[in-house]
Amino acid sequence: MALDWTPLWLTFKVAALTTVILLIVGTPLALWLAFSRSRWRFLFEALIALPLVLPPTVLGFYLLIAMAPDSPIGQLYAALFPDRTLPFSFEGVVVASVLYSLPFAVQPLMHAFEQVGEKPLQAAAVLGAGPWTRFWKVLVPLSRHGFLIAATLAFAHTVGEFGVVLMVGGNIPGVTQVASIAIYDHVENMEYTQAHMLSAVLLIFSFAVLALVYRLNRSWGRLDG
Amino acid sequence: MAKLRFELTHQRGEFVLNAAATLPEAGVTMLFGPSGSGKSTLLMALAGLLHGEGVVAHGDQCWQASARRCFVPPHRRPLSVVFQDGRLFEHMSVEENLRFAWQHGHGATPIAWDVVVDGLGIAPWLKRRPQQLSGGQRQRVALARGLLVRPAWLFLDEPLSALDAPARSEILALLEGLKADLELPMLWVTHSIEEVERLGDQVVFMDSGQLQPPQSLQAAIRQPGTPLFREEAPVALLTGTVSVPCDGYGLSQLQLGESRLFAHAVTAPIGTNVRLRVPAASVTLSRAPLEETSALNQLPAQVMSLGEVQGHQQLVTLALADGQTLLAQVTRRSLQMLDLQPGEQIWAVIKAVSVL
Repeated sequence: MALDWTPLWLTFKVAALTTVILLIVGTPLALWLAFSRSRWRFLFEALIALPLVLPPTVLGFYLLIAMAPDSPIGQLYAALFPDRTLPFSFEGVVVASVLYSLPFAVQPLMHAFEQVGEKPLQAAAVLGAGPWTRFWKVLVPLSRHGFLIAATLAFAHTVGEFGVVLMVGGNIPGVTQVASIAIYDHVENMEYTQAHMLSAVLLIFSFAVLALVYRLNRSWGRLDG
Repeated sequence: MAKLRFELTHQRGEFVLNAAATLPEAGVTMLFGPSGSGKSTLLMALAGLLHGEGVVAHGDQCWQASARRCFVPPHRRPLSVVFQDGRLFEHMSVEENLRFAWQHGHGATPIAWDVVVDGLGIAPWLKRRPQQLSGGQRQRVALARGLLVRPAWLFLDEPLSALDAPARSEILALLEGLKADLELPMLWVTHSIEEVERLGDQVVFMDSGQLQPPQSLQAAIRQPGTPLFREEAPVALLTGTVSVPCDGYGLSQLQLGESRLFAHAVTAPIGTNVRLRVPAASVTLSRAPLEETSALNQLPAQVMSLGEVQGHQQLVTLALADGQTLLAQVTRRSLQMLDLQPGEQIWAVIKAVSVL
């Protein structure tokens, strides 16, 4: 019995796309959280951390409601892409994954930015460097481990999601049936061999990713300290 | 080069900054005051790193005018700041740190790369990382980085106060050598009398968020009630150029205009401008040049004014041939015998003095 690559490839596509979107969206959010002196900062921190504690089904349920074709978001999406809908589609799964994994990207970035602090950025400013230069030449290199950890965790956490995808995407092979859902499906159908193979792949992958993150954390910590 | 004029207020808890002054466009202005007096806060507000209320103008260029909603961000002000903690970029080599300043800097003042890098002795460490440098070396790189911006104004926020005494005096000596080559106005925050006396040209006293008007160093050290003034022992500060650092007698020779002055040997190379502290008590006066005396120095001077009688002593203010001010403390009896009048020519007799 050969390993079915379709759900694994789909999982990879969802996770990779989610990671890219999260780095683009998460960086300005983390910047604001790290350097803002707003008194309402804590509210945004709590909002972004919500997916950590919320049952995935709750998030999935609200997303399903929000994406419904008669909702404002659903109508906007229909206006932009007439032939498509968000629920039970690949795009819907990616949108759900971005929200679900948001804290895993934003929090490491925020901590890295806070650790760098304002001092090197002020130093760069009084040397004549504008905001863009300060970001690319000072902040990004000094917080590079934060970016690496954010990307790794966002990717790994998206690979590990189940409830949100099931609620928003359903179980459509080749479209929304990611590896975790395929395993569930195999077990339901008593196909233990396939379930074994997919589970082993995910187990080894997850362990390798976590080992890498902890390894990076240690060596970067030593380098910076 | 242009004057820096400001009127700034800023409140932070109990502390209130309320500072106004016009700083001259040349030389080193020392912002001097006790810790907590708001010196660094003022510097940060002038640099635009802190949002105060009020006006900052560089010549006719607006840096800040709260009423007109003008606020130029720090990177567009032709200035540079050297921080107390250096703030080198740890992810760059020394050379990359300097190139960053050179590349993004304003180029408002002509300063050559080599003058700075050689003048501060940095060339051997260009390939090193900041983590591989000592505290004094890091601060030298930070100074070089600030200079290589080629700013119209250089701000220094207690640049030497985190260093130990040998590192500090080494950097002071390097800056004395470099100062003459740079036509760059500096605003230097400090609470060190040594730094003020060795490098300052003007002094602004600051206390509890308030400023006194800028005054020359010579005037500042004669102003009673300031930390620079020593009532029991008035001193004059002279500037001389090293012509012989060390002769066979362990003495240096300094040029003050046309006059030559012997002082204790110095390490500074020929051509460096150094400061001398001459206590008024070590200066005696004579109507005619002395012959067969142990005093090494006899300088022609003009009597400018006679001070108030204090006990049996009186302070005489003299102008040397090159215009510098010297003080002499003489007994009332001697003064009566000499019958000195302001405007008269006299000889100031001084033993060998020490360079600061």
